[in-house]
Amino acid sequence: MKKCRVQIIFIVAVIALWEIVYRTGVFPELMFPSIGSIMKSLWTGFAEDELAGMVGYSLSLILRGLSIGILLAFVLSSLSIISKTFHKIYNLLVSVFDLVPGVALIPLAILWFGIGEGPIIFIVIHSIIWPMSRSIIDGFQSVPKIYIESGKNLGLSKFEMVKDIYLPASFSNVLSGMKIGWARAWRGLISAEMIFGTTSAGAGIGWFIFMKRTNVDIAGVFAALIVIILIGIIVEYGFFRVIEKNTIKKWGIRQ
Amino acid sequence: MSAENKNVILQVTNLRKIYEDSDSTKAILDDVNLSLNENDFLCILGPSGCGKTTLLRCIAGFEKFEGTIEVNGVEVRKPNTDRILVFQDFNQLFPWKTVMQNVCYPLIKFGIKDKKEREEIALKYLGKVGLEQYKDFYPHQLSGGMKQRVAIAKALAVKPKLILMDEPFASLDAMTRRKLQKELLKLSKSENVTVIFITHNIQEAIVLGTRIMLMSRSGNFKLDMENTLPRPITPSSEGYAEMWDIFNNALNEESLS
Ligand SMILES: Nc1ncnc2c1ncn2[C@@H]1O[C@H](COP(=O)(O)OP(=O)(O)OP(=O)(O)O)[C@@H](O)[C@H]1O
Ligand SMILES: [Mg+2]
Repeated sequence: MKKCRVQIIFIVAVIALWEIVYRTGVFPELMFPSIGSIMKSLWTGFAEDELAGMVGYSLSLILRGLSIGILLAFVLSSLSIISKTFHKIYNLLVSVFDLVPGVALIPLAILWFGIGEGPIIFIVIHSIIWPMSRSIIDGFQSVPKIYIESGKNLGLSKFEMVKDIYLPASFSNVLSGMKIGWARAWRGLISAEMIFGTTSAGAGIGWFIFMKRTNVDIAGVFAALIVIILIGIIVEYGFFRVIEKNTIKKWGIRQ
Repeated sequence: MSAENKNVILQVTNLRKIYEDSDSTKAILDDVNLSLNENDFLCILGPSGCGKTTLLRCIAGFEKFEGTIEVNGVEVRKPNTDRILVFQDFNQLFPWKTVMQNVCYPLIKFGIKDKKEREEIALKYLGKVGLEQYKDFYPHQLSGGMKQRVAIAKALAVKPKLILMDEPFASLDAMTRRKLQKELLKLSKSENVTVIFITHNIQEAIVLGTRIMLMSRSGNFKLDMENTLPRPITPSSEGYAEMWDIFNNALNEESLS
């Protein structure tokens, strides 16, 4: 708590400033809702508009997409350690597809997977697989030679080399790849939801924002943004920081 | 196999090594021949860049070469746990494993399936280097000397036919270095291992080696001596000064040429 003091003071100051600006009435209420009405929207969002369910649905989509994307990134990056030819091809694919924004793929995704969860999960996978692969491959390539030779000295198979040497040795890259991938996937998901609206299986937080905008409920839009940010903070501190503490920090590996 | 050959553990014949990726076509190792008996402690001296590390890497199976290298009559093709390299670099332990896990891990590959058994063996060897109480530490929490001790315990635990040590103590301060030399000397006797030990330090070679060789810039051996000084050897031992002079002069000649 002590370490975050500056940040907390800053956030409180921003909120106070917001409220002051609101009270001066420089901006119309529609553009600049009060803190109070944002909080109220947040409350009614959860109490009446099933915001919790929507958040849960978005999270379930991203979790499915991320699991597939991360798994694929691991498998394909590991193959590129084992085969030089595959490495050359995969490296090219990663460089090319990393440049394509997920949202730009939506028309194709609809064409291939139809309307529904398919295209959204596809966008999530696309968002994470390339940056994650880039980080893993870069990490694999910078594994100190001495670890590789220590492994070879034990007669490890290629699979064991990847699992027991390359992966842990490049774990800080793997983690930073996951962070970048997660952030892109989370953004991509919300954009996709805003475009697709609901699927037969449910509606996500992007849809919530879209509805609030259509109803010109700007406080509601802000409320949704707060939820998105809070989820980001929870993932950072509740997930990534915990993993970091138990791996690279514990191992004394610098980032 | 003839009877007198019985305890030859390493046989290097007409070894030649040229690095393909280097611009010069000069052979780093040029017609090296070496026969090493079981339980020998061979120290190799030589000017920097003469190919000592290259020789160890060939024996370890990390490099391609011309000629033959046989360990216990089996030709060396690739690395394996019968020949363990110990590096100069303190960072040879895996930072993501504890001291205990570092020593245990090679034992899995060595074929010891039972985790408890592995831990018992690891603990035994950590005890031999005086580090049992550090078993749950991560390498970054150890000093350089302690890391080298763990590396030695790790190497001994898989009972290799040959331990190949490439200046393992070169980065240590003089005090720690002496201490580790003593420990290694004791261990090499009690564990019945065969060691090739590279060093730049003549004192170290004389104190440790049962046999001392000197490599020359031309890529083969120039001196090959049995070390018959009475043990334990200290700089005040009879014959030490003469031996030191021989190697010092030879090294000086090499660096002048
Ligand atoms: N991978 C490599 N590719 C090309 N040349 C190499 C390679 N490794 C070593 N050499 C060259 O081979 C020669 C011998 O190197 P080596 O490392 O075996 O020497 P060394 O006797 O161990 O030296 P030092 O005492 O400084 O450790 C050097 O001239 C070096 O430049
Ligand atoms: Mg060397």
